[in-house]
Amino acid sequence: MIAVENLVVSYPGARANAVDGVSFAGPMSQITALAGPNGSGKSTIVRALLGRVEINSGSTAIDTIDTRQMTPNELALKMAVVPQREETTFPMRVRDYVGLGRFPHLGLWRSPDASDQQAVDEALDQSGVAELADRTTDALSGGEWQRVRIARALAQRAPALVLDEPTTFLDVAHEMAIFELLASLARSGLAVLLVSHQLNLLARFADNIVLLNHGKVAVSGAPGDVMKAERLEAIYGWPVVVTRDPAIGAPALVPLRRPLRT
Amino acid sequence: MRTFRSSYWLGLALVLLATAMVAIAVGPVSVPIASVIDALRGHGDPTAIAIVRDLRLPRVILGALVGAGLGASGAMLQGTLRNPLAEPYLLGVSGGAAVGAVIAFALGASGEASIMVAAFAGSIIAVLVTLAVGRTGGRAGRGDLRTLLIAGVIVGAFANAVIMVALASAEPNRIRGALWWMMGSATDATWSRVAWLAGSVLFVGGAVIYWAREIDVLALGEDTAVSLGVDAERAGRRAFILAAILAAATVAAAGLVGFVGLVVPHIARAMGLRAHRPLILAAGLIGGTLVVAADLAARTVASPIELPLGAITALLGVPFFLVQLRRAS
Repeated sequence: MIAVENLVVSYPGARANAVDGVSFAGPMSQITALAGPNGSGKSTIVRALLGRVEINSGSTAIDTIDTRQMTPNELALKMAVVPQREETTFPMRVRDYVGLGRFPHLGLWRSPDASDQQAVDEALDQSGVAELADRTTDALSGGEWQRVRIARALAQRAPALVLDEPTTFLDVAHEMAIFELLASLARSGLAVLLVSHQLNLLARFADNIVLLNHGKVAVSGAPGDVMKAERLEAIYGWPVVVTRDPAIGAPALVPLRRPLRT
Repeated sequence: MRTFRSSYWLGLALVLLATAMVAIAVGPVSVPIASVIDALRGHGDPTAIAIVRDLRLPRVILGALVGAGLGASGAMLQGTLRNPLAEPYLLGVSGGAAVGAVIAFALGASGEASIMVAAFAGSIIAVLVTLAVGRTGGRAGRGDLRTLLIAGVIVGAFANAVIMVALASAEPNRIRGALWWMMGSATDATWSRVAWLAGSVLFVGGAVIYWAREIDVLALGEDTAVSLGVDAERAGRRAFILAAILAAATVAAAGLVGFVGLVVPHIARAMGLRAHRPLILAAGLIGGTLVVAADLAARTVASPIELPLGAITALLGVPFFLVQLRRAS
């Protein structure tokens, strides 16, 4: 379980705190979504969990242990992350790339053994990319690459999984496939923390949505409680209506065209 | 992508060994390979023993060490900085070393040790400046490692200006020595120089190999590296400094031997290597072979005139690289 308590983070030279007193919990077997406008502090929370920014006050914890009390290696055994951006300058085989997820278990010198191989195989299977194992990373489509990155994180075998906008640039089918994958991962017991702009998909897949604005929690709770038109309009600064998804009845956000000025 | 087979290791080692044997045998006085082996063991013709043991062997070993150091350094830097164009000379290593050496020449220094010390000190100072500039350039010291590349190019440009000023104001007869040094040469291979470089390459190279797996993870970017349990800033800085020391040691021993650090890692990758521990080892073997072959060409092609080693490495390396590039695509 991921727990963020009264987290305050400010970047040097910035006028306002990037994250200003945020609290939420990401329990096991659930998808917890972080949403909100650009610059609302979503990615900063991910960076704080990773220890990539200094925490001014408050705390981030995994399984009740403060992340700052853990060594980088201990943290990697507890939490796997699929960051927003990632490069493979030198393309490599998908299997070898996913195998890098075993680094926290292997350290500098231990050779991969049968259990490491098994973790990699299972991660490839779970993400549905087993048939890509012998391809090179530069021969993958955008959707395949994102699934392979998730497989790399799964090979880490950490109880918490954090993803920062994993479906950016993906078409509808690939985006749905990623969300279905995350739902199945949550069912298998992982605590999934998902940063995403796709409110309509979050409304269907997330157990809880934490909606951020200007570094604060504007509202959090079940999708039905968070997806209120007046609130979303105020946060995003754009006229919207919230209807019902005709297929499954989940709340659905429809941004409106602005009336033409005369 | 090609699959690297373990038999390739034997191939790489044999090619290096064969190149070294040929380089020991060939010269103004050619020694047959059979006599080379005898001479190495101290048997046979005293002249052959003197040529092999005192002249050619140290030169070949020096060349191999220079190539190994530059190849390994380049392989590390390209991975750490996630840039296929990264090479040790882009980080201020060569510029700083040249400033140190040229100033030493301009002041009239001629002793082997003083030039070496000046070059080594110059490159280490330049690398420290690069690190400092790169750090202020990054976001509050936690920025992108790639900022270092820009910082290195800037420090190199400054070093070039200093070199031009030093050359312009030096006595003409001292300029030639400095220019030769800058073109790279294994001519003055003494056993003491070989021992010094061997010590540096083995010691720093050992550290490089010890931490090599971190570079596999660093190559995915800082955020991913941190999520996999690597302190990206510390590991990146460590890789950068080790690579710089390795390159600086070769520059102090043999001047500027260009192109090896850039091209050799690509050859190793074209053989199917990605993990940095084997990649760095293979780059060392390939780099050693390339420089030994280049030095052989440098002293035989236009004999009795000796050509600059740095020019030959590029002349040999570029076509080889282009063939590899075509085959890869």
